[in-house]
Amino acid sequence: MAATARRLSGRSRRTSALLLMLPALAVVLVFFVYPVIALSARSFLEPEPGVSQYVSLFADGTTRTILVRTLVVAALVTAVTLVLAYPYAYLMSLSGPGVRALLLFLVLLPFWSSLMARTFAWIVLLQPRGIVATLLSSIGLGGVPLLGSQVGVTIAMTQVLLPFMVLPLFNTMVRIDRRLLSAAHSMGASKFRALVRVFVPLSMPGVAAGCVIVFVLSIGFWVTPRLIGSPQQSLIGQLIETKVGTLLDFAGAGAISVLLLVITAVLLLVAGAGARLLLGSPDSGGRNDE
Amino acid sequence: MSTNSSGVRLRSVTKRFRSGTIGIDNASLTIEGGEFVTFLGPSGSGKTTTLNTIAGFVRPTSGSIEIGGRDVTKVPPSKRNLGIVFQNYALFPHMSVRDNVAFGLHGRGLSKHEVSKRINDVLTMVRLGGLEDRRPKQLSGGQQQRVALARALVYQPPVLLMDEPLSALDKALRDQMQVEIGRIHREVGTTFLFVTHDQNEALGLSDRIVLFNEGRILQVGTPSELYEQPRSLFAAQFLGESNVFRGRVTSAQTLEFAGVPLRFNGGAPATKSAAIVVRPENLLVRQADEARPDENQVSALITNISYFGSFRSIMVSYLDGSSGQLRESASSEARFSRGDNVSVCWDPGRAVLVDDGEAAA
Repeated sequence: MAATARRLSGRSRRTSALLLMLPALAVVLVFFVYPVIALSARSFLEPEPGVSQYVSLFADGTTRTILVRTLVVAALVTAVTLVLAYPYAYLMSLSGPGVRALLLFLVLLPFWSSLMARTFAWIVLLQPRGIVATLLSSIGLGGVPLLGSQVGVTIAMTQVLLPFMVLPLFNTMVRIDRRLLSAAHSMGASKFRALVRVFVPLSMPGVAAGCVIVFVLSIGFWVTPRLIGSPQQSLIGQLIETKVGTLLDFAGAGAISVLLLVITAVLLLVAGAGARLLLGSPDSGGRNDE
Repeated sequence: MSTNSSGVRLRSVTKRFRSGTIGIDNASLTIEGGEFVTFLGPSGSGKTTTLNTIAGFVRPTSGSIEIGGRDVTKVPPSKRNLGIVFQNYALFPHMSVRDNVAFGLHGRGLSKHEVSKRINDVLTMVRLGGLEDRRPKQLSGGQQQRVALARALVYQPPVLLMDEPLSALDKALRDQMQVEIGRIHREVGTTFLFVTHDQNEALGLSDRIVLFNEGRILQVGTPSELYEQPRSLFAAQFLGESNVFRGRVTSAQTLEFAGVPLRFNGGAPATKSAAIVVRPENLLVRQADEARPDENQVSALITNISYFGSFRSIMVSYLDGSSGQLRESASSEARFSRGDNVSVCWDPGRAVLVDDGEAAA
């Protein structure tokens, strides 16, 4: 045993690990990396090599409007999910094991039905005289068009994406040492001040993670805006679909996709840097022994 | 630092947990302003629960708590104005040392100038000057301990509570911090309540020790009172080394141990079953035939002798099979060796009679 382990050490251990990863790696390379590279390449190569696709992307008023609308909807969905998920995750982190399991079950429930089924369910709920419309008019917000509008899209997307906000928040909150709150109280801090000065800052990594995930998923959303929104209010996913499916403009679709990738990458970098700034890098400075 | 200290008073405090277990069983205690009092006991003895009821984190089932003459039984922790040093320090990881210390000064009506003066003073006192901008993660365990102390002392609370503050440190640092805490107590003059399970910390630091076991306060006294006059077998065995001679009380002044009558001073105990407790340094070893009339003596077999430089520790086995130990100055020549049958002797005035814990329970 010991001899085998020694033989497997170093180079040969790495080789065998690589062999085990090969099937998954192949799938990713063939079905993800290759298409991304191919699509990006076409966006730079067609109709002639250069950045003409990108120039026209920003020159085209429609594309710009759709891009801005997508970012606004994504920001709105992110904000609404955060507002809804934060107290929910806080409650989850405070509850005992039984209540916590129930709350987790309720959050995960949507995951067990298909996105398509849920979206069709929303179409029923958002009907002009449907449940949501009746509820809204009973609190004096009647007359808001839901189906075929940005409001309906936001409501449906919020519901679909809520778990992606709740889970990272809960995961961060449950790790916050409650004695820090006791310490804050012992120093005279009110419940509110302890929450704002201690709990909320320490939950920021979860907030950042949840916001990035929800925002990134939002800007790529296609099924929900396609079925609930109207074609006049389409989002960037629908634009890509139109370019690829109807106009056969692969280069133009590639350019938009690259733009989305860049936005995502920038968001991830900013969120990562923000989290490091807030909590201090774990290996900066190092321990200082007496 | 100005002197600002309050007494603490517990009246018949009982804490019964929801599970039905009793955390504190009818504890009454008066602590004077400015005292350094240690809550000593094994884990689960109620010492930390008692500290938490004083802090306000645990609401007693019955009884009352006064701090500085004010009944705080129903006052939340944030309104008790106490300094608390938590077991693992509970420093805010997202704040610098300065912000950690400044946290408790908020809302006390201090000017900016006064706030920064207080922070500087307290950091100087705990010898952390120059580390204001570090995050807790960038500090060693001992430095984190000092931040925790500074943070709890900066708003000059009349009482400072410490929950096993030294348990996370290694031995050398623990000894050093123990000296530091004693110095800070003398400088600040605040009442210190210090929870520990380490008898050496309790003996070395305290004005008085409160000994806990099974949720009850067993004995309260100065370190030397607890060491020299333990009132129970538990107290004798928890603090320091003891030789225990269990037996039956046969008269107002004798106890029969394995057939040997032993004399004791003081009154007869309430129970028939009792034990005489003698500290190792009060025992003498003599040749089996070297008895003296004014001493108690018990036959023993030497099972081991260890040399510690200044003294020899001699392990013995008594007639009833129990073991004991005694100390002999290493400056005298070694007269005995392992396997010798000897007499273990002591002056009756240097021993204590206690109730036999097991019989009483």
